Amino acid sequence: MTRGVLLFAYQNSAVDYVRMAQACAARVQKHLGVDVCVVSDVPVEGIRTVLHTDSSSSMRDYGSGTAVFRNESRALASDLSPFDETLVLDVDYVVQTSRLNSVWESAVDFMIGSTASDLDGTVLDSMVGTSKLPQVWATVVYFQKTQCVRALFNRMKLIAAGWDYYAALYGIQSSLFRNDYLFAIALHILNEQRGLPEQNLLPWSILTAGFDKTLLSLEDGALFSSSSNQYRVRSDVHVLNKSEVLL
Amino acid sequence: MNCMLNAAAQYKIAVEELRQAVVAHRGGIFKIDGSLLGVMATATAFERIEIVLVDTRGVPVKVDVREFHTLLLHAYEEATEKFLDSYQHLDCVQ
Repeated sequence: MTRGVLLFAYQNSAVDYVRMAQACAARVQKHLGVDVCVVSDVPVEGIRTVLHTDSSSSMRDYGSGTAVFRNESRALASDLSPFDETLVLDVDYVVQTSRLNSVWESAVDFMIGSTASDLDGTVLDSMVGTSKLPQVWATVVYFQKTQCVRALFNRMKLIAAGWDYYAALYGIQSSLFRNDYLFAIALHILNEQRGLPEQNLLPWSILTAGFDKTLLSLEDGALFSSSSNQYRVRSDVHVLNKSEVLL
Repeated sequence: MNCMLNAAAQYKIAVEELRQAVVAHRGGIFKIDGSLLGVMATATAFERIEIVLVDTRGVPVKVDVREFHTLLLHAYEEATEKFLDSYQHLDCVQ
């Protein structure tokens, strides 16, 4: 059984996703010691690359400017991954421990982040639109290539193709396409509309540094500052101010 | 802007990390808590070789008692050391 981490890095004019993928891959290799593969529209130096074009057209405000946000290829993760066991990570997820190694050879074939909490302890609790369906976090996704997982990803492709309909059905107001919602809706449908299946949720919360936190350093853990505090984080952390991980 | 490395903020992160500490064994993922440590200590005392535990996601897993207990104790020690260090820095404790 091969195992590895899959990253997605489509360049745009606001964020250097390729450099972020290289930085993320280096941290993965240091702390998890597994192979890394990146899906990108350009060859990524130093990492095994699967060339793929994402034709998304939704615009996103990155703070530093507005640019096309290419994020509609996650539904293809199972097709594009060269690994039998795959861990898909956002490139702005800073790996600092070996905890993610606990997912390998899991007794369940698919797991995704279900809760997230900010450094200040706030639980980032949200629903998919007005539907009351709990959101999941596509920041960390683990899967094996099984028939059930293929069914899940195939369902996601159908939902993505008919996104306008599903967005209306689940009361999603935002025009921004979100993989968090896509996974939640697909899991909900495959769980016979009975919410999210407990066994497919990662049993820990995704620690997140919100937009109000500035990353100051990545030496001796990640050091963040807010208007009132500094936080030294030595566990894995999701950095919402994406570009800051290029320190 | 006051940017002191705040002991209370660090303590909150340490509590969260301790609460979320997990250990993986034979395909199961287990949250480290007192009841799990208690069950494993009892199984060890009764010299059981294997027992079935239900992991955090509700998946039944047959665990090797000796191997899992050792793994659990190491992970528990690591998690609590970070927590204790942070706790000792709290102003209210000093």
